[in-house]
Amino acid sequence: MEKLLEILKSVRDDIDFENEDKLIDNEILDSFDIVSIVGELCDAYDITITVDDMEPENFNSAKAILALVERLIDEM
Amino acid sequence: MPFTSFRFFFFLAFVIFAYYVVPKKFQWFVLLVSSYAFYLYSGVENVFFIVATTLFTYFSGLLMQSMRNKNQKKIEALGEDLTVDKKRELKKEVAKKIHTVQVITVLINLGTLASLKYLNLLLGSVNDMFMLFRWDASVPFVNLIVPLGLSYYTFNSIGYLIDIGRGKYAAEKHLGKFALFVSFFPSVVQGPLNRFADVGIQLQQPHKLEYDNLKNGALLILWGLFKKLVIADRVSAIASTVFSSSFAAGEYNGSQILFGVIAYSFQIYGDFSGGTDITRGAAQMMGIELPLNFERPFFSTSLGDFWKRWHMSLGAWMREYVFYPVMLCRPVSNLSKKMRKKHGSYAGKMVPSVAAPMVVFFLIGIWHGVTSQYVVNGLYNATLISASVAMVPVYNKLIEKLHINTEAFSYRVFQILRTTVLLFISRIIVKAPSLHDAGLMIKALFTSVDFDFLLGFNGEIYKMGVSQKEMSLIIFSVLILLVVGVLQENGMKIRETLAKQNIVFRWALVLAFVAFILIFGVYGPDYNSSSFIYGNF
Repeated sequence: MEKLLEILKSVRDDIDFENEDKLIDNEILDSFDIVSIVGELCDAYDITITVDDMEPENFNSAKAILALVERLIDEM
Repeated sequence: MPFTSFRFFFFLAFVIFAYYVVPKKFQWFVLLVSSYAFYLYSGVENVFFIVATTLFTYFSGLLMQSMRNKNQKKIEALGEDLTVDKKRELKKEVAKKIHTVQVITVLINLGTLASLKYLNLLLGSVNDMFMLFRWDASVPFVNLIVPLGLSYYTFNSIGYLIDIGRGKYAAEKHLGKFALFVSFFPSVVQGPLNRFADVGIQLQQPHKLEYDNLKNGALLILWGLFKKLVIADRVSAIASTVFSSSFAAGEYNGSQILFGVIAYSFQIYGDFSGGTDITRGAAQMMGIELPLNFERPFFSTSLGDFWKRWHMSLGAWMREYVFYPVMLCRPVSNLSKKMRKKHGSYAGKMVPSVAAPMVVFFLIGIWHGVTSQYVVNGLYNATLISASVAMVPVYNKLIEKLHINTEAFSYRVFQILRTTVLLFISRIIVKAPSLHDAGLMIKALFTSVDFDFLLGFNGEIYKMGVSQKEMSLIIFSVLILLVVGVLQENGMKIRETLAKQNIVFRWALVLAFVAFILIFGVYGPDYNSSSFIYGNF
């Protein structure tokens, strides 16, 4: 989780990723932020995040993002 | 066979009758035969292209599917010998092959679309160039037909190929059922764009006769006819009066152009969304739910919001197959990362927010036509949308400093008016006789205001293609449209609310509405209802 939080902070350092659980629903992150996050995650974890994974529920909280990363690592 | 003709409704009634009479397992077949009958009616030569696209897409889908299946079998056969690295390698290998097939097949589909739609335009430009350099040469034009609904069925097919390539669902094995997805007659002329996983599956499923589907579908058709025949076909006279002559001729001032662009906005909305309502209503009568294509675009609070409410199925298609892939592609993502590290997160964010809208709106522009006006309009929309992302920090500061309550009703009205002005400019860019005229018209819009004309004091307003009586009818009809829009914006579901009323009131209202369309619609045995604008795209 720490590695993930570090990545998220590198994209938007003004957001409390540890506690926020409605990043998309409350429009805290927009699609352009998501793209930056996706780019960082793909590089850091050597995974491929596709358009199909770009669902709001996958990016609403750091926990959800971690679950997505773990799922994609497992599927590899 | 225009959707507003009696012929179409006889055809539809016959299809619906046959659809519910045959055993359920043959319902899809009734739709396939009807779709091809409908298509044949538009010209025998058109059928060749839709059959070619269907066969090509169908077999390409099967090819990608078999590559994926073979790889899966290979992985399963290796059993416990399979290491994580080996599995990863096999998956990457097949993904690369599938991706190659996907790219080639999508390009062939796009190439067919582009050559049928734009080859002669391109040849014309080549000849213009020859003339410009005074070369005594010319390229002969090619006698090409643009098949009915070419863009729509090609985009549906491309969406299917990309989905299969991504492994979103399995390729359809039944050729007939796949052919129905490509050719389904209500949506083949002017959309909406359909997804195989949704509409393709619905078309194959059996549907039992339900009164609610028949009633709701018929009401939606009625609403579509109202928008097309009473509003669009009537206000079109104003738009063509204002925009048919060059601005340099000096015939119209800024207020008359404003009047023309308001009329054109209602014309294109009534025409396109009315046509979509007829399409969706016809499908609903057979129990098939087609995607929404319009959600009251007049109430948009920003250009971004407008594109979520206007031609929604094209927007969704572009988002999934162009916008996100462009944003996620390596060059954009790497450049964004570089910028973020060098100049902070704001700069990093600007890379995808400029690249993706530019590509999407350039494509939307040329989808409508390869003319400088459509290209400029595409770039105009893209620039404004990118700028709106770039300006967020400035807006936020302004809002804070001026203590603006963004939740207030007045702020929403301001946003709607601002968007409307931006859209008027966009409409003028494409509707003016030339790009030069568009520039002059936009300038006049803000500089030569004639209140006497706009308020109807000098009677000039009734010399713009419609009489005083017609104007009253237009105002009354547009008011109905806007009131219904406001009610829907506030969450009311009109057909459900209507269903709860007493039967006498309900039928009286529906019959009065039918009579209203019959009396005031622009149609009749001698009248050739103007074809749908989007049928040509």
